[in-house]
Amino acid sequence: MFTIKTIKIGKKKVEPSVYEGVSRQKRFETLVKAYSGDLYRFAYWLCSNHSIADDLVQETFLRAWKALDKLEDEKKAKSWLITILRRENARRFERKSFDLVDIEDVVVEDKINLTPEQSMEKQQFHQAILNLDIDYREPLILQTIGGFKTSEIAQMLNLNLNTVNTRLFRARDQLRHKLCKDLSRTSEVN
Amino acid sequence: MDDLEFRKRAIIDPDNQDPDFLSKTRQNHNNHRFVKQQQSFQQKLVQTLTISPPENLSDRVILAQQLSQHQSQQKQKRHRKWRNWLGGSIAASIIMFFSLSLILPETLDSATLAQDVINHVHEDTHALNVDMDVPKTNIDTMLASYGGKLNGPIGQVSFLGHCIIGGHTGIHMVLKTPQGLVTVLLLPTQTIDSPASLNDIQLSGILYPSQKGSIAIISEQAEVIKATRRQIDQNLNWII
Repeated sequence: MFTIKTIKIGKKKVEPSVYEGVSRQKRFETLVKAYSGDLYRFAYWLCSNHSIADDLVQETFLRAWKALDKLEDEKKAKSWLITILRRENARRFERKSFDLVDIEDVVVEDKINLTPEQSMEKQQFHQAILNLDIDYREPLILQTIGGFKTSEIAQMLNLNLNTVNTRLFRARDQLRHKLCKDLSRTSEVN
Repeated sequence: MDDLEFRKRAIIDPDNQDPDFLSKTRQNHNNHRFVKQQQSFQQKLVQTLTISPPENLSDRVILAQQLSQHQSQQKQKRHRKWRNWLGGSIAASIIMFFSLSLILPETLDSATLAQDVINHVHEDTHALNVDMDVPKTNIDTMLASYGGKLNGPIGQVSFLGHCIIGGHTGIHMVLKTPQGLVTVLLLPTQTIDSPASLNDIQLSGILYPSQKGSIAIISEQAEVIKATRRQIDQNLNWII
């Protein structure tokens, strides 16, 4: 008999996602289906490269599979996976340096039909986020994509709550200023 | 919460659901508008950050995990196979070692074996009390079981039997000679490097290396030992 729980993905509630008493394989597959998307987004904004983000997600889940028995509380699955991914990302710098794609060359994919202005604005926003210092970018991603509270981010990044708040404030402030500048420059050109 | 704190909190987390924050938001139009601006910015941020993961990412992750698991199982199988093989080999080696130790002659210290021989003769006094004329066929059969053969007569055998000396089996014979009883111990699995004298208050004798293993000749009469040795050496052959 399965007990169905509800888990939180980002700020959305998705169910059913976790089944108690199911096999280890089934448990793993549930985690993959629930979190691979968010994990990929987190990885991409962390490393600025789609291919590396893909590898990071694969490695993260392989490690998660091996250590699945250590995950006792399914509610903590997402933060647990993100912790593994952050470690994997740190490990890749220990192993070797990757040939990163220059962030200026990154093409923003648009699946929704946007007007040229909206598309340009999104492109500028994209670049602005990637240009943020990693110290500011990481808590911002965790908050926006991960849906974590500032206290949870502080715990995950092993930082003081005030530091996290400061970084989030500065991240958003920098983005806003950058966008205002870019938009005014675009207006001048037009 | 003052205005500065309110604005700071609105920037940090526009979706803040804290009652104080919500109350301050509703306090006046400016606050409400400021939060709306931040939420609009937040919406754009989320839209930009929400990139699409590659298609079939989940399937590829699960596939990679299953492949990894399969490889790991194969590795374990190989490891188990190797371990079994190794265990089997070790067991076989041990068995072979013990088998060989029973079959192959063991090189021993002469003095140790000499003492074992003396102890055995003292303990097995029954052999000296038996007065039989053991048929030659019996002697041949027993010798043959150790790979030995008589080419000529060795005299009257009054006792013939197996014996265990120092954990190894051998042949215990008593020869009835005109000079008295002589004990002959044929120890084909116990090899010694050099001969040793067997002397105590009652007995005297010799322990010497043979063509196969060793031979001990013991008697209360010292003079009969040499003659018996000569007769044994001349008529006993071993098939190695």
